[in-house]
Amino acid sequence: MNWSSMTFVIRETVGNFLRRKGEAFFVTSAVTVSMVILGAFGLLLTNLERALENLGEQVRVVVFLRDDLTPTQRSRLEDTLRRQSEVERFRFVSKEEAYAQFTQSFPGNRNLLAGIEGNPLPASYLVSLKGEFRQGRDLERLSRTLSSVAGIEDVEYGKKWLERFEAVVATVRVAGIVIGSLLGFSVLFIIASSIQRSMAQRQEELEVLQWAGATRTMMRMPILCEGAFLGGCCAVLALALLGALFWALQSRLNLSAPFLGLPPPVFFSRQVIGGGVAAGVALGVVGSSFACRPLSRKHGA
Amino acid sequence: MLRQKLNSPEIIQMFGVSKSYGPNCTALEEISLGITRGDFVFLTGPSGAGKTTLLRLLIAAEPPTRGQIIVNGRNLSRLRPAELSHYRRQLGIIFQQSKFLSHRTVFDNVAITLQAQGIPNKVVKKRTWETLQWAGLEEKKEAYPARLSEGERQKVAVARALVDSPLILIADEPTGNLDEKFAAEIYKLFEEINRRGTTILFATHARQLAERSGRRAIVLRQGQIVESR
Repeated sequence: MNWSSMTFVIRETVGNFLRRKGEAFFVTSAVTVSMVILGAFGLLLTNLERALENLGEQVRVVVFLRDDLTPTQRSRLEDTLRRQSEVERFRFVSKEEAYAQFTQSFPGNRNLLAGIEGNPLPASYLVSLKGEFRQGRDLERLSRTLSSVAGIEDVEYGKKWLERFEAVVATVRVAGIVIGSLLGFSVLFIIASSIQRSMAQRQEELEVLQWAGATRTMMRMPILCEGAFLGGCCAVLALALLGALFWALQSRLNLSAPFLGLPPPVFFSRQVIGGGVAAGVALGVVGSSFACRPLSRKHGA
Repeated sequence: MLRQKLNSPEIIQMFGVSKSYGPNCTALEEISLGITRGDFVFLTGPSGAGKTTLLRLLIAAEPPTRGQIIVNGRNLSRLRPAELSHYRRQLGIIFQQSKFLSHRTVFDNVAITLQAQGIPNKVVKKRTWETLQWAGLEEKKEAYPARLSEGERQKVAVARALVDSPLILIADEPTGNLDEKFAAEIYKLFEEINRRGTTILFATHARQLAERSGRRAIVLRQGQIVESR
């Protein structure tokens, strides 16, 4: 395709879009709204995954030790911990340190321990995990391995809470995929039917081009470019709207997030924004290719 | 045999061409003809004789049911889809009701033929302007099709068909809707085009036009050639 053909295609694309201002407005609005909903789900998912990652950093496996643990058993236990691929680091917490932490953390409950002879709190190991092993199933596996080691009283890692949280994220992810696919298809459908209407209005032009000896590319390109332009514009608009909404709500979300134990919410990264616009363009191209199929049959394009 | 057909001085050749639309509707039956390069040939016959069908087969708008069509040495039934557009660039096509782009001026309606072929803008402007001058449309170049008379519209159609100097001009009833004055003007344009060497196939139901011109006429009736002189 030479420069003259490209300028012809660009002029045709912009001209077609501007000639159908009313319909273009309606279609742009419908596609933009669908993309805003799609983006909102994406944003929710991004922040939930970030929250999970953040919680993962705080996830510790606490290995409570028996009071009669011998130095040899303790040394074996440390060797076992070093051998585990999931373990990033571990720290020994003596009975005295545990007592001091308890009284510091819960000063009102100091009397609870006063009536008991000696220090009832066990020594423990606080085990931190590597990033890729902070999921429920990895914690479960490590917990089982450590429980079988001699001298260990109990192993804890907030199992139920973590499982529930992961279930919520999985549900949102599935819902995101289902709703995302439905909205993606509806965007495709809206774009395809809009381009089809545009083609019906341009029937005479296509006929003139056909008899003038326009190639398949010359006939299809303005249509595909119109779809790409529509998809790209709607994606930019949707991201801008979503961004404005996010910034408007951000101060409120920033205030309430710590109370829920969540990190402050973030907007999409530049890469994701770029990917979103590219996806909009791709949806437009795919939608208009569907619309082009009757053209191939009728005009041999 | 095929080599002989391809090297023939005849620019259009049809061998046993038939076209049917279902078992009970035969539009053309066993048509064989040859048109020499540079000829001006009338295709006449009453309405429904098969003139338009024959022209549609020549512009590769649809394939024949049987037979072979060879235009400028190319067998149309062997044209690949990608070659179709290049084949059509050798043709100028004019219909009785030529379609125009209402949002484009006369100049742009003529220029689109060249733009569609990816010809540089400078050349497009020069050739379009020359063609409009030749057709006597220079004063109408900024007008929109809706503001033109039927005769002027048909002149624009002729200009559009000729702007890229086609080898063959195929015209389906180009003067059918025109009064005598405009019909004569259009016909004069066709004669001038023919003098430049363009082969013309001019379909009309007005047999007297062909007779008055003294040019070759092929007469169709019920899908068959009944006279060719």
